Amino acid sequence: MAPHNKIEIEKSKLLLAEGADAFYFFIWACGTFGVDDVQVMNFGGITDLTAYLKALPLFSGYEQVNTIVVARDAENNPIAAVNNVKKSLQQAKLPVPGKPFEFTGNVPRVAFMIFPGFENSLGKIGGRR
Amino acid sequence: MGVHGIGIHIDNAKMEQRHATFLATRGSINPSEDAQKFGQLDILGKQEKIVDFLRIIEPNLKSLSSVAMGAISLIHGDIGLTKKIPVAYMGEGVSRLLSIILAIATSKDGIVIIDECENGIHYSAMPKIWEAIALAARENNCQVIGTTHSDECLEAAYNGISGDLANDFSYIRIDRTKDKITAKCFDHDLLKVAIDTNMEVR
Repeated sequence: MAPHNKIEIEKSKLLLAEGADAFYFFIWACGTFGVDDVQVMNFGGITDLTAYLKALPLFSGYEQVNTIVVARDAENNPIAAVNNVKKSLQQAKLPVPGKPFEFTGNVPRVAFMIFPGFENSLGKIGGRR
Repeated sequence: MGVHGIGIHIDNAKMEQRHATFLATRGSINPSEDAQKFGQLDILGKQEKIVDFLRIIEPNLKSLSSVAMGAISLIHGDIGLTKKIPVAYMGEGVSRLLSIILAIATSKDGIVIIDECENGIHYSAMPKIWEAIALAARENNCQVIGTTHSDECLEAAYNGISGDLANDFSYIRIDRTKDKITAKCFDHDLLKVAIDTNMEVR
């Protein structure tokens, strides 16, 4: 049975994080840097991303969303990570940016980030590699 | 819109009349009507299916009988007491489930609408009840539309209507925004996402 206190979309900018480590990292980062117009959400594991993106427009409060950013780990293959995020966005009929850290589309604007870095670096947020 | 008023044009619309039954939130079902439906099914040898369904929440139930009492008939059940008792005495949940299964079983190719379907039913029994409803609906080619405000009921439907039955299931969320009402349709997989991520979908 899922816990109570259900989550609703309350902000127009969504940051979709992969797993609990990234979720809490981004909540902490937003708090630290005073970013209060972004809602961080946990989409689960990377294999859950496509279904999550498809379900997102059905959730309460989605009408106000104008920006979506997906954040996932590079793990052992940053190129595959990029391609997988692009494929998920495409399957969910969302705009697909050409590369990480670049917005595309309009209502919603969409971007994705591959962690830990910009230049095809391996790894992930939290835990051990 | 023209001089004759407002019209709707729908391509490839299929118009057909289907028998529909509405089950209201609380006990407004006419017991005699249920007894009549039960009689129809009993004649066809389907009593055991009805009893099996009710055993989900009343495991002691052995059999059912339609008993004439003056101008009306009431369904009585044998739960191992010295005599059969009216189903209403077994609790609201049993009465409601009986009305639901009788409606589905006598609505071949029709529609059954259940308002606040979780009313009177313990949450732990809901998944099995949903599974039984889905099986009965498939067997009778009957479309069942249930309304709920309950998360537990929704999760129970997700868990109970699984496997092969999942293709028969969809959850439609009526979303009211500032200026309009829209219907958001979840299939079984998308509802799983909502449940797993604890999203509000009521």
